[in-house]
Amino acid sequence: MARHRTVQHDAMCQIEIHEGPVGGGDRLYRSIAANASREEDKIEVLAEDADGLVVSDGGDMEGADNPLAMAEATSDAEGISTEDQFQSPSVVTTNGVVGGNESFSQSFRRWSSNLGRSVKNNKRTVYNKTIRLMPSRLQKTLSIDGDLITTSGSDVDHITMELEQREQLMEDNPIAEQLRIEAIKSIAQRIATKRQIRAQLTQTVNRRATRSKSIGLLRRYNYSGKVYAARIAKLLKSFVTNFELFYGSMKQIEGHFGSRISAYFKFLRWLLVLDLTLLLFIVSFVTFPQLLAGPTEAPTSNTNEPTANVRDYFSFVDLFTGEGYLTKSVLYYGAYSNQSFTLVPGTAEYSLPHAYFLTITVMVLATFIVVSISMGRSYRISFIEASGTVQNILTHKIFCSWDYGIANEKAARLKHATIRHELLEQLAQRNRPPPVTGRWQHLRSTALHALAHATVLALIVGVAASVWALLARFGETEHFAAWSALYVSLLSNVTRLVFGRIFRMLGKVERYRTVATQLNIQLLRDFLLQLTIVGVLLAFWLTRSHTGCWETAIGQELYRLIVVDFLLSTLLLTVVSAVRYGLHRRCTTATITPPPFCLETHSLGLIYNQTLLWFGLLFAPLLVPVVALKFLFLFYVNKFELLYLCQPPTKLWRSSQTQTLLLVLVFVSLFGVLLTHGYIITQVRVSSECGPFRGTDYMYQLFMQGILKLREEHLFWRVFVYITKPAIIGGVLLAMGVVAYYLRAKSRAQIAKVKLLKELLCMEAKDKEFLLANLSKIARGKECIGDGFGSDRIDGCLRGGGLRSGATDKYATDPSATWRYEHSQPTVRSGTGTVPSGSSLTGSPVRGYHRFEDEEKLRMRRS
Amino acid sequence: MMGASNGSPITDQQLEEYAELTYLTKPEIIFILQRLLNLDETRHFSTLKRYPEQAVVELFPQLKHNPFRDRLLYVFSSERDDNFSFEDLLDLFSVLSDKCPLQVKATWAFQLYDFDNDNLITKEDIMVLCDRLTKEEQFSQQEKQTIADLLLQEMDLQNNGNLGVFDFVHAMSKMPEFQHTFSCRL
Repeated sequence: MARHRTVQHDAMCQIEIHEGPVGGGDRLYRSIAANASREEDKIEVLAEDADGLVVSDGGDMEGADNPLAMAEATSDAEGISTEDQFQSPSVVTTNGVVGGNESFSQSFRRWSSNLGRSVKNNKRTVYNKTIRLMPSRLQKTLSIDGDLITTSGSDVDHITMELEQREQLMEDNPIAEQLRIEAIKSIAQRIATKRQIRAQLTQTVNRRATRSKSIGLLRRYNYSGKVYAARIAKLLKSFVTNFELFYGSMKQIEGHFGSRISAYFKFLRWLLVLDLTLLLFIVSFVTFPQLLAGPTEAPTSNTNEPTANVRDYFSFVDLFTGEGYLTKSVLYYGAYSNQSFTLVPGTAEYSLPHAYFLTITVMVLATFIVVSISMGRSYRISFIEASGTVQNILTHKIFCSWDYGIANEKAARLKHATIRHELLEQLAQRNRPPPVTGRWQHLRSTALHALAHATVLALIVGVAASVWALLARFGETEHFAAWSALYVSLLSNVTRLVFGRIFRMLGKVERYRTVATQLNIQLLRDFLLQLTIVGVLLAFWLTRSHTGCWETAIGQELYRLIVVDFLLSTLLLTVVSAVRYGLHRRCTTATITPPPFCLETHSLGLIYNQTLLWFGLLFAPLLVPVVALKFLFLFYVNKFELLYLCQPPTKLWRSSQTQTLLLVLVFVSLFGVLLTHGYIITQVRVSSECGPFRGTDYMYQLFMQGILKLREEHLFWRVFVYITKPAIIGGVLLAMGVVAYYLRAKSRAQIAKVKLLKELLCMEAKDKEFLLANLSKIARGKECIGDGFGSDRIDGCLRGGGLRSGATDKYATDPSATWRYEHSQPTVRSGTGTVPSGSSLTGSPVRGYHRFEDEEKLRMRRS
Repeated sequence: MMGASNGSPITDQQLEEYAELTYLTKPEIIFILQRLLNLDETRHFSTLKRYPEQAVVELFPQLKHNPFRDRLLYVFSSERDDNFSFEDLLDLFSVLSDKCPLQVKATWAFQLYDFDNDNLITKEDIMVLCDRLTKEEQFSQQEKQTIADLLLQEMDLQNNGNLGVFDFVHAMSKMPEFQHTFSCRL
């Protein structure tokens, strides 16, 4: 609409000037119209439209010399090179005006004509300078996503015309064709209409194409390459969507519980896909070569082995403890060889240590990038673009509450009840008198919250200390029986679960004002607890004296943590819910409710597992399939739980914001993992008896050896030395600081601008109101506001848009604005038709206050 | 319009065209087509043939339980006769598809929620909307009034007491959830 309106605005500005020399423009128009024979009907449609708008000009304006239509015809006829033609009408018009009297209305007209021309020119040059030079993809997103629905027209011709104005859509090349398809898709019309529009556009393009010169060979190849790329992308996309993981399950879940619950499952699926990708790379680059190369020759392993539980046969217990037979398997770090070997004789060597190091580092870094990007995007969508959503609670509750995916009677009823409940709550909150904001009340609630926070922190510290103490007491002892290895992991998992419950109870006492706050605080506390436990475990393992193959030992601990978590929080808790559900069914009294399905706990569990996995990657590469299997199983267990056992959550919480928060937590834990990995790689001595890095002191040395082998003058070496200079690093940090500052300033400016534009919108609405009021008054035969000003005044009211109009009125309403006193000669005008008493008042000078800001406003509108 | 080859009711070209004009993928289009074919005993399919509302609703449970069912049918029925052709259904599911951009969805949603078809969402429309959302136990007149007032306060940027298409689309573009709630899987 915006574009549409500006175009018409231009038309209005220029139409006024045409009254003198009608001939020039008209002739030009006719000649062009003759060329563009087929466009005629369309132009008429638009001409009528424009006429309707400028009805006040009455007799002066013949519908024919409509610059908009003319511009239309010109651009249609000549395609791209219309620059000079485009300007000619305004040149003619300015010449025409010079001869006239120097009245205000004329000066205004001249000014507006200049404005119209400059707008047109500016638009063009700016367009040429910016959008044209952008890479095609950017251009596409800018032009298509930026203003999807600029077509305000309702009929085919109208929409076609508007689309034809966009040059990048109308070029005769495959990219433009893609753009065209996208643009047509996004029109909110029926298929039949879209089909017609497409046919017309194709016709226009073909007609234009015959005139343009044929494209060069290189360009043709370029285009065809792009077309193939687009086709392949399309094929891949359809492939991916056709084989969407768990499609049926997702549909079922959505049908039963709506999109909010399915967001959790989507998160689970996302993690699963991430892990599967990881698995693919690790198996193909690390595990598979190791298997091909055969087991390590185990130089000194069986002499003084510190781990007593190594066996050569497989026993069932090993699945839980991760020891015994598994210790020597490729599951752990220790089993990997430190040698290079040739898999196929005569080919290059495959260095397993390098493969191990690079695969894992690169994969973790790549995952980090992926997580950061999706976090950033999610944050942008749900917080930045939705700026000020805090106030739009009700909008959300009304317009986003019904889930169109719901396909189940029971779910529909539940949804209705939930919406009703939420709305009532909202109303009650509005009606409730604002909380007593006395000092005591405030103090009390603050103290309560502070106390709660302090308690939670104290609890977490206590947990950390006791876990450390327990580890120090029991962690070092030898395992007597295999099962005793599970103590540590059992302990930490149970602690996690129990304290999670305690925090939740504490949260109920606190009584936060909004549910969302409570939820987020809950989530953060749980996360902090998790992080603390994992951190303490890691710190303990890394700081204890390293004997034997300590990497494998850590891998085993992590394995046990993951397995025990699976047993406890997945299987045991599901059984507990099943029992509770059974009791609920048995005793029909309302004492036992069906178990709730707590999305946050489940999501945090996922993050916990994923963190352990990322951390453990270095010590046990094949933790990935374990976790992936676990997630797969979890998906079905959760689905079963939700469908048959639990009562679905009845809160309409804002899924996208919670989703963002979860992603942030994932990001934080992954960042922590990266830091820890960095520490381990550079600072912790590797064990000398096992693993791919034996023979070096630290893991990174393997890489450094490669670099050191290079000659002193080698480019890479020089670049490396250069980059690691403190000055450069300082400079980079400084530059990042500057960029951050710049972005911050920019965002502030944008916020300010949004505010300003909103105000403008309000003012515009007032203008419109005023104009409509005047219009109806005049229609009833009365006069415009300000009796004494007469016909010219009314002309001004109607013609100058809402800008100059109603000066007196505005002065009353907005005294703070800047005003300018204008004194100008009267125009001799007659035959304005609409005003009965027009002629009697001509001759009196026109006075009035005019706002300086109007020009500002116009400028704003242009941009 | 009848299928060219025996068996397949629409040609490949038609399928391609539908895939280009809507946000649906080809398998989805074929899925809808198959559903409709099951409905048809006469085995006499054409893209223009119109099916009665009741039969269509039975095919798609998402529609059946939707409180705005009649509005959906009204808005997307091309001849406003409460009958549905194949293309009407494609239109409907294209808008409800996951891939449809938010703005396009919002434009259609505006028509959907404009119960009196006057191109404005007024207070009365919002009150009807409230009734439909709560279905069985409805709010009192007073409560609905309050809700409508508050909602307009939030969404109506121009303060003129009703919502135009642009107000609505703008407000919806600030609601990332809208994209997910206003969509369904086939």
